[in-house]
Amino acid sequence: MNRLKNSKLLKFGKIATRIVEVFCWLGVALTLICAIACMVSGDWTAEHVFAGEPIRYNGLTIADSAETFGTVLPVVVTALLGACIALVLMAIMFHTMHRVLASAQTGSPFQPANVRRIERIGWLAIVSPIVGWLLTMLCKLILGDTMMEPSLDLTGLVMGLMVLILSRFFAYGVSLQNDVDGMV
Amino acid sequence: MGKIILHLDRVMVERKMSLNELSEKVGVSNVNLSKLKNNKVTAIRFSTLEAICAALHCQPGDLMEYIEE
Repeated sequence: MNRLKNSKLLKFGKIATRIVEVFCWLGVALTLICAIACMVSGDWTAEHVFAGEPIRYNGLTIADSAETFGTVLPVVVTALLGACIALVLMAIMFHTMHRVLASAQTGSPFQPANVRRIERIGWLAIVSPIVGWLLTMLCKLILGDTMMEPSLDLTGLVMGLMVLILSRFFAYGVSLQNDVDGMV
Repeated sequence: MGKIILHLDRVMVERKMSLNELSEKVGVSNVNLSKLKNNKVTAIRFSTLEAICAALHCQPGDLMEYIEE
């Protein structure tokens, strides 16, 4: 167990997950601020925040210039809120990963709490692409764009399923750990 | 299905050995020996059993008993 606790990979993983989590929360704050700015003053936001650049969300072009920005404001706000939700889900996922790694440094990774955490990561990995796809479809509906077909990230779904299965392996590990802990 | 009961405390009294002394001889902590004495363990290694039998000059059968429930 000391080898695990002192593992450089574990320490690197803890730092990396924490950094990504912080960036995700920063992203949440920025997208929320952007969404509020759009609702308060769409023209100012189009000019100063998006600088007249085309706005794309999950492969869907929402606004291709500052002139069209005003007409698609509800879609832009929806896309920003969608991005915000996706970032929140990612932040929670990385926070949970950090907790799993931290528990391995202070004790055994095979704890009931880690089984629940890994299950949560699995479900978040499954739900994230679905939420993104649903919001993109909503944006498409509002735009009335019949050409673009938003795609669903199946890789994310399969990865989430694999993580859920991994949580079952961890549950087995917990029972083995209990056996070892009860052994003299 | 029954269960295994440990009589470590009885054998220790018969051999007049304290928990600390046995812990030093066997190389198992006081905490774990205490758990063993109070039937709070789920498994015991053969190496631990050998060390206890050597320290208390007894047989494994003296230390444990199977009781049908």
